[in-house]
Amino acid sequence: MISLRLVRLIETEAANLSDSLLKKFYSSAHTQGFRKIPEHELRERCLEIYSHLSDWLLHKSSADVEHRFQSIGELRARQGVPLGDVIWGILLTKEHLWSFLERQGFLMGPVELHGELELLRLMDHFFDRGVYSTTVGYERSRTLPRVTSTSDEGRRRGEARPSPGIPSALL
Amino acid sequence: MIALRLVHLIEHHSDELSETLTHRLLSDQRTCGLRKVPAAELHQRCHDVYRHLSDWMLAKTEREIQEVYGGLGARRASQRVPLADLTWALMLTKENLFDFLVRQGVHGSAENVYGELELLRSLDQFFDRAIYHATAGYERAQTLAMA
Repeated sequence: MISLRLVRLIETEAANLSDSLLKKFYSSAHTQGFRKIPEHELRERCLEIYSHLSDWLLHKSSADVEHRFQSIGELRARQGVPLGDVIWGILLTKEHLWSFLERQGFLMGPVELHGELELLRLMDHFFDRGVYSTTVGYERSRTLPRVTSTSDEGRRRGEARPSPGIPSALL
Repeated sequence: MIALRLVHLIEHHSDELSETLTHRLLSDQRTCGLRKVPAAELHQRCHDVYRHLSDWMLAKTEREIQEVYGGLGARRASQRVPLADLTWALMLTKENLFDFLVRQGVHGSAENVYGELELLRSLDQFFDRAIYHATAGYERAQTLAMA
């Protein structure tokens, strides 16, 4: 039984977590390429993943996760963001959660610790799948023409933006 | 401290672990690109990380990880192994360790759960860096090849 207490805490703090994560993106040497991504888009992605973490970890299928992250990989390739930056961004998103959970302190009872271990393993699987699928999407897109913004991308594909109630992929 | 005990257990079983990992890499659909890599080289890489896991997790610097895994990325690029296959392989390398702990009856036991948390954290940090540097090394090699 994973620690729902910690998941709910993350979701409650999603806005603060997203803000502090964005600062890390802009200051990290490994994510300088993110300056090519509109800030509101980055913030939205971070917020939606943190706000709906329980959905992503417990309800979405592997295929859902893979599909969403592949789409993001394709988009970042077309935006000209280096893949290394995108991957580091996803890893930093996970690391940011870890640091937050460590600051909250882990309960010392073995039952609670076991729940926390299960949560961390689920998070690990989720972000690993995200990194892999992003790479798949990015590699697939290398030969497609670049776009300069997500609005260009939206117009090009004739797509509507995702509904706020539906978690979208991270980066 | 408890995590170190688990790491030494892994190092002690590095032969068995690298055998099972090599088998997984060659049979998994997501790593079929690794069939382009000579079997001996693949096995050696697997064995190296497991045999010296405590070094990798505790002693190696960021620069050393960058050098080795950036070099790995560049090598796989030259061998035309898809980057996604390499990425999945590094994830399987980590996953293989946890499957081993389950088989050993270590996973989830009350006396080991805190050690597992420590181990998961340290493993994550190491493999995340390995994946990042392998990706960066692969991309650099591809850019050079296209120049």
